[in-house]
Amino acid sequence: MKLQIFLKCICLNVFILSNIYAQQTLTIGTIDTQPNEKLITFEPFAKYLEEKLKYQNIKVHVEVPKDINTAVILIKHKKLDIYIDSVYPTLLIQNQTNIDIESKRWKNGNIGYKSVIFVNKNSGIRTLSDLEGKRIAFEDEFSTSAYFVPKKAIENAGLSVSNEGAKSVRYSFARSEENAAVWLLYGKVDASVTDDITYEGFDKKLFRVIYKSNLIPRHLVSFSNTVDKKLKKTVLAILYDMHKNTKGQEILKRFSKTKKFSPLTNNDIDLIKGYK
Amino acid sequence: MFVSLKLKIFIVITTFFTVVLTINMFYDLNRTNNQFTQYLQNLNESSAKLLSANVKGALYNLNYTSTKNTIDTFDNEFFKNIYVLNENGYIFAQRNLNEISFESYENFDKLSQQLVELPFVYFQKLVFSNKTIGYLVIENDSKIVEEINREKEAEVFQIFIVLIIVTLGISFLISVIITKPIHKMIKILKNTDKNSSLNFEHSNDEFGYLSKTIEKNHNTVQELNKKLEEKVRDEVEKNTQKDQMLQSQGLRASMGEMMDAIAHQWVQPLNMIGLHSQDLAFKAELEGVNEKDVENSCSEIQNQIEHLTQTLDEFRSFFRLNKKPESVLFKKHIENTLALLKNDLISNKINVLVDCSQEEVVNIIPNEFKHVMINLITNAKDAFVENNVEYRSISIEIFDVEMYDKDKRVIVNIKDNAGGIASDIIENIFEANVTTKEEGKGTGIGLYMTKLIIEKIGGTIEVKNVEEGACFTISLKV
Repeated sequence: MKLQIFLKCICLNVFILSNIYAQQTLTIGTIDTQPNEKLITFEPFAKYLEEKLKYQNIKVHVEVPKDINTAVILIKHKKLDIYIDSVYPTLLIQNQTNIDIESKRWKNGNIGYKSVIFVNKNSGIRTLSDLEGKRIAFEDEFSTSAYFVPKKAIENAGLSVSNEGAKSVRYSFARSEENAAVWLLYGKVDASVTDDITYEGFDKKLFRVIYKSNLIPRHLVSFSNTVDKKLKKTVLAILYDMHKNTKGQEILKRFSKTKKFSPLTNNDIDLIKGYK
Repeated sequence: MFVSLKLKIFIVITTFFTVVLTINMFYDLNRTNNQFTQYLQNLNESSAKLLSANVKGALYNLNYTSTKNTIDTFDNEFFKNIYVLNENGYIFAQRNLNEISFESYENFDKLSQQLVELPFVYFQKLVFSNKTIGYLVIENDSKIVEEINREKEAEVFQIFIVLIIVTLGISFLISVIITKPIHKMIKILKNTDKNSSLNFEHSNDEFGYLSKTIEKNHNTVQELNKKLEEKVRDEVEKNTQKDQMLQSQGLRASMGEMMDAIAHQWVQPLNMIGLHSQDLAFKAELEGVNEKDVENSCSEIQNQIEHLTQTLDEFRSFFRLNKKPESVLFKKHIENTLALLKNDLISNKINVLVDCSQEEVVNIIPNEFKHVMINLITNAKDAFVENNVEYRSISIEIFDVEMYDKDKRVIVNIKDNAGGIASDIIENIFEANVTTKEEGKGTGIGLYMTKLIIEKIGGTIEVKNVEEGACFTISLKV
């Protein structure tokens, strides 16, 4: 009789535990104004993770909020566990949530990029200080390389970036790095910004670079602090191994031509701290 | 050169259809080309309209990305490139280049001033708020256009070739169908004897009419032929009778002459016989006849009789029907002939000179040729008498000649000095009933017979007046 009761208890516990695991979901995502495109990009990556985590009975979902605030809400409500994005949006979200930046993604095959401020070749602007009272074109307000980093650099040079005040560096959002360059060419602005990789595609005989930042990680992988540490470790291990197998390479390639995931270096950590 | 009707019809139909198809092919190609040009123009216009609506705002705001995205969507195979230029002609964005550039469009000045219309280039102003803010340039891919044109040309050409082959077949069939009745008629005509009637199958068309007409004409011709043949036969018969009559007349005339000659020949021997018989009778009556006198008279009479017999044999042989030419020694033959005329020639004091070698051979019917010679010499004799020629001479010469065709001939010239033949009759001298003699003396048959005899053995006879008389030239086969 006691044995029967003991066995029933064991079965009940197994059932309850299996149900608990069965319901566990890991949500990955980023922000984008056009979520559908990103969903399509993230889906194979999510499936790969799910496949790797099947023994833990974990489902992997994709969530692409349209803006930072929504992302913050989702993270706070445990609806977004792993956030993958560039430095600036990640830092914005980190400011409002308790996400941990754990890894970096070599998006488009690059370990990172540098922010570049450039002017017309025949312009009299030679240094960041010369931008005083001038107008600069940023890409948009969430761009790391084409807004956040150059803005920091200008501010570090002792200038304010504002559309008010005669000495301030005025700014416009061109909504694309190409637009910013074209605005510069057509005299709508006095300086423009982009990343060094995009700048390589420009006709350099037209422009002159007046500032180039340190190497900035292309994308960061952040985990919500609600994610189980063991699971986080497992996921990171999966990410770091992805580029070592054929299927992983294929998935990475489809995931915006990502070369691999790698741990943050000390330089990366210092750089990120500097931007906080 | 014989060119069959079938071939002519085939060539005419084929040529006609080939010309029509060729014209049609070029018309079709031209029309297709125009249609395609129109299509391209419409495509350019409609695309430019759409592009213009989409890029105007972006260009105004210098939104390169939006402009580039917009023109990138116009990925038409006919568009080689699309340019959006600013108001100064600088390339703001172009479809085929992702890099940002700051270059002016190559032909902007010409295009904006409408100086030229470049092939495969569509140019349009971009106007925003009544202000020209830029230009849109669509460059068509001439290679694709040319390739499409080539494909169309190849397609049209293939159709053309197929149609030509079909045309050849149809032309052949038509030519066969048209000429079949004619070939049938020709076959029937070829296989029909001239005396048989035609048996055409009369169709109910032009060929039926033609075959009926041919049949009718054939029958008419057959009837005419029959009549003509009958007429010819009658005429030939009449001519034969006439010739026979003339020959008969000639023969009779010759016989008369012969008879005169015989009589002449026989006068002297008969006189001699009579003289010897009278002499023997006188001697028997007056002196008595001894054996020697009888023997002498009989011997003399016998000689005269032999002479008479020989003369008779010679005349008899003249009338034998020995009609086959034979090779004879000419000189001997002439001498035999002259022997017949010996007395006549002597009594008329006619000197006959024969210039001929002993071995000269001619191919003649001896007796008939004798008649020829007698006739010619007798005619000369008559002329001598009629013209009262004092010194009378007849020369007979014979020689060989080689004609241009390597045919060897023997020429015999009989020439006299009897004054010649009147020029008004010399042309017709060998025709029947033509004579040079006084009325009532000549028959007009002698020279006609002479000509017949010469021509019968493949020879010819001609006459011409010479210095003092006439010269008859006989050409004989060897």
